[in-house]
Amino acid sequence: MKAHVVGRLLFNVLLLGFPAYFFCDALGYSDRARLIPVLISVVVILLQLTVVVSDYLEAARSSGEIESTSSETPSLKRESLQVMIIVAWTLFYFVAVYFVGFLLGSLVFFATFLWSCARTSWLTALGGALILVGFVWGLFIKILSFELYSGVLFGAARPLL
Amino acid sequence: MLAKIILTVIVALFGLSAPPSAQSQYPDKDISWIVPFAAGGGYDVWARALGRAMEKELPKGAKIVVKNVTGAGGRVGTTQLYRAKPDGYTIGMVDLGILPFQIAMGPEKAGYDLNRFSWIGVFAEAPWTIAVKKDSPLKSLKDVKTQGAKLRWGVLGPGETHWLAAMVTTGEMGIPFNIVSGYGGVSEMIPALLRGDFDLCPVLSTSALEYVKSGDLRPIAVLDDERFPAYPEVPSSKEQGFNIFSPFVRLAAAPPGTPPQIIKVLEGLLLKALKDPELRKWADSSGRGYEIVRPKGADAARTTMDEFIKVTQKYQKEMSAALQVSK
Amino acid sequence: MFDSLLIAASQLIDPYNFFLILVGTLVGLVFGFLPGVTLLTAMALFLPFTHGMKPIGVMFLFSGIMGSAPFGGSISAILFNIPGEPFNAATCFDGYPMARQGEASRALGISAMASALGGLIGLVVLILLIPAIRPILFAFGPPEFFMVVLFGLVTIAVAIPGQMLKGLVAAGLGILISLIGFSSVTGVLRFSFGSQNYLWDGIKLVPFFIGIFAINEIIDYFVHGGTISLSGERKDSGLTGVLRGVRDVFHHWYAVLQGSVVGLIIGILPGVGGTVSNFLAYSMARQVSKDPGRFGKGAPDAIAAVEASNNSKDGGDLLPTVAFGIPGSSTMALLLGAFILHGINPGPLLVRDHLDIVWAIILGRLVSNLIASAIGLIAADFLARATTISVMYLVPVILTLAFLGAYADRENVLDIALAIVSGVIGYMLSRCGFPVVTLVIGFVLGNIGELAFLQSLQMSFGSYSIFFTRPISLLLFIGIVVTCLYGFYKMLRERARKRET
Repeated sequence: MKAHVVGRLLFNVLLLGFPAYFFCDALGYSDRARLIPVLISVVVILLQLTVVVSDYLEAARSSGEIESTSSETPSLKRESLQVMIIVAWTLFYFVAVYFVGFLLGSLVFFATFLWSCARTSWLTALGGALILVGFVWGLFIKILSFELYSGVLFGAARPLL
Repeated sequence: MLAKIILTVIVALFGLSAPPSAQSQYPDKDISWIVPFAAGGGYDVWARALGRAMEKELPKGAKIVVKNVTGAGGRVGTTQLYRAKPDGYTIGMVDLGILPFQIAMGPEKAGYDLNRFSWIGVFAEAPWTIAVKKDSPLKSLKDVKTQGAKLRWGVLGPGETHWLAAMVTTGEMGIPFNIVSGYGGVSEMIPALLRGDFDLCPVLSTSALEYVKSGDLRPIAVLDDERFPAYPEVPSSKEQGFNIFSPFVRLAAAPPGTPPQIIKVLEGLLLKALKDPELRKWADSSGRGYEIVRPKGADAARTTMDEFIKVTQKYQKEMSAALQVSK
Repeated sequence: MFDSLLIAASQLIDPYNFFLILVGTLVGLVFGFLPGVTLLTAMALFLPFTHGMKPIGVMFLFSGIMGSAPFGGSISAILFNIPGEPFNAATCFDGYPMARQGEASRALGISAMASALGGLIGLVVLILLIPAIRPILFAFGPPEFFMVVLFGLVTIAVAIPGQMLKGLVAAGLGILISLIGFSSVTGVLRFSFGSQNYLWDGIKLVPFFIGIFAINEIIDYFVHGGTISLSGERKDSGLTGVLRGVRDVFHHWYAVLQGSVVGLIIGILPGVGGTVSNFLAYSMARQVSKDPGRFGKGAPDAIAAVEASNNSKDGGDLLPTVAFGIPGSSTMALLLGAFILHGINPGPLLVRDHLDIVWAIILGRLVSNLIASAIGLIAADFLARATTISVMYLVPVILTLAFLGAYADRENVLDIALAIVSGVIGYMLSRCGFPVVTLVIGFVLGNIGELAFLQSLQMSFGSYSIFFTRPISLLLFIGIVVTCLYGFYKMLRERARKRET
């Protein structure tokens, strides 16, 4: 079976969890509060079931075909890897901002990203980072007195959940 | 021997000029003023205007910086104030509309306790007005009592100040409390009243002023013991025979545990600012002059809060029922 | 009335005031461009600076910001598929594909021209409507509003024949997401996963949009590499591209007109505003377009209609202000707050006592709108070059700005996390064939629609007949039914035609 078709099927099945959660949660609320959520989540579940069924049929159909080109599968693997890399970068940036604040975190992220992914020299990377962060600092902190997040390590308020 | 004398003198000098606690140097840098609501709104403009007036008394260069910290109907900003360092460099405003949540959840889970704030003072106070649209058949609280169950009250949402005022009113009058709610702010609610979405609503006397002047809104009662000076022909709720206590106060507070000397300084700054002629001019021209009639200091603020909490506790059951926020 | 117009106009020519408008225009362009840092934030940040200025000067500054922000936002929408302001979202749908085809200058040209025209039309119609405002505003209560939202949702569903099933699922998911949070109609905190503070106000628009658009796009850039322009080149460098865009706008004048009308009407409805109007303009333009298949692939009339509605909505949100002194949007609310700070009490008497201030706002917006478009036309060529830069350089810049925008909305670092989560989910959804368009529309319309619905029930003490006994509501409902039927009819006809071939 073509990997990406299976992947899609899996995703669609998992997606059912979302409206299902809303449906179950909504049942515990008062009349008016649950009216629309129940209605919408039921409709979404039904529609999504149809999507799952049609995806399954397509998957079953495609497994009967000759494995045309295997170029699909490595491409999917490659894509998933790339997605995970960029998400990891994004999370790294977030963690940096959370602990050392926006300015420092951006500096660190920007410089390391340019150096590692855009393959610039570390000098250009650092320079670029300083320019961008400098712009943000100048505009927001100097001109507008807008406090940017200073990071948990530097005494920023812990966000409330 | 000489050395000993010099040493003693030095020690004595140092002893005399030993720096007392921070109060003599306070305030020596910028003070943050947390406003739990959006820029441009009622609390915000007050904070900015007051801040400017208070800055005049601060040492050169020290400013009052307004910070809008919005969310959860004012609770995010208030919680931030509650947790801030009690060194006098962070103060803020507290809106009474967050009290029901504390009563429903308990201070532990709510994250703040209105009983424990270090109150600085009441800088503005205005009575509620019960208003209807110009051509409404309701003419007085008597009509409201007669029509009782057929009436729809406009409020912003369960737990906030308009809702509290309306609940106390209907509670005291013994009539059912039907609401039309969900409005994002007073500026959405008033056109809704004029449009006929609901029959009457509580509105702050100062906010209603312009609409009363233009004839769009008709006040039928002022929820207070006295009449409201801007429209003295409207009888108070007391005159109409109902004893309704539901104040609207704008309170300034500091985090719990702020040293009393610092509170004294802040209270002084606040009361002085309220007498500032420039502030008065602003207040009068923007319609808020009526709110400064009876400014109160820290102790009076404390008393007002306690009374208010007592009255609100009376309706605890209704509040917990209306606010389904705990699982 | 006209002498106050003259007063305002004469103030405009004063060099200091004109300078304020220019500053406002530039600020609006920059902040409009920066994704997530909304123009509301910009105005709030500039509020302290206005201390000591004369009220009319303040109005010129702020209206300058308001007038140029829509166009500023569409620049990043077209070049990077990231709306600079939430109401620029629909510009991405066709502006960005055009940029990918190497025709960024053309898209910018369309945007600049349509923005200018939309703003003009919006303001002219506003002035004409001033005498009739009150009846118009009073006609739209919660039941009517609910019908409008329903209409919006239905046109979406009917408008995407190709992926209708998944489109509807995405819309439904968007609606469900929008219901997270405390509902002030019912007093219930719903679907908050146990969160008491963070999710109390629900999933906020700005971080969600930044995630769905910016971060989603960044993931896509990273995976595919290359440049924004798919071919790596620009087909239309120089002035030719821009002029082609301008010609497109006049060629599709109907789309511009329709977009302006939609923007104006939705702008009038208080509390809703721009985010809704650009989606509605998009789907309505698609319905009447001669080439609907082109939508989503770079249709010029799509861009024109959306841009026009973006700017005409500003005319709309002035109406409640002029009628009652009540803000029609949160930016207007801030403006009125600025009034109060400067000693002017807005209210129904605003028109009577301070008409010159109102004119100042109108003129300021108009001038800033025109200046911004002019700057846009001139700079389009230069800006379009961004489409030929390798994305690896753009990714960190955009991500930094995205984080900044997500944080700046309410100074909560968790909003950045929200943006990331939305972005990843958005990427996965669109990768599996779920259109982001409908997800976003469901999200925008979901909770306000439910609010209107429940308010209507409160008004009627629980009776559903309120929707059918009020004339306008009934009319809208019939319109919805007709649209549905027509949509089905078209779909069946398409199927029949396909079977024949």
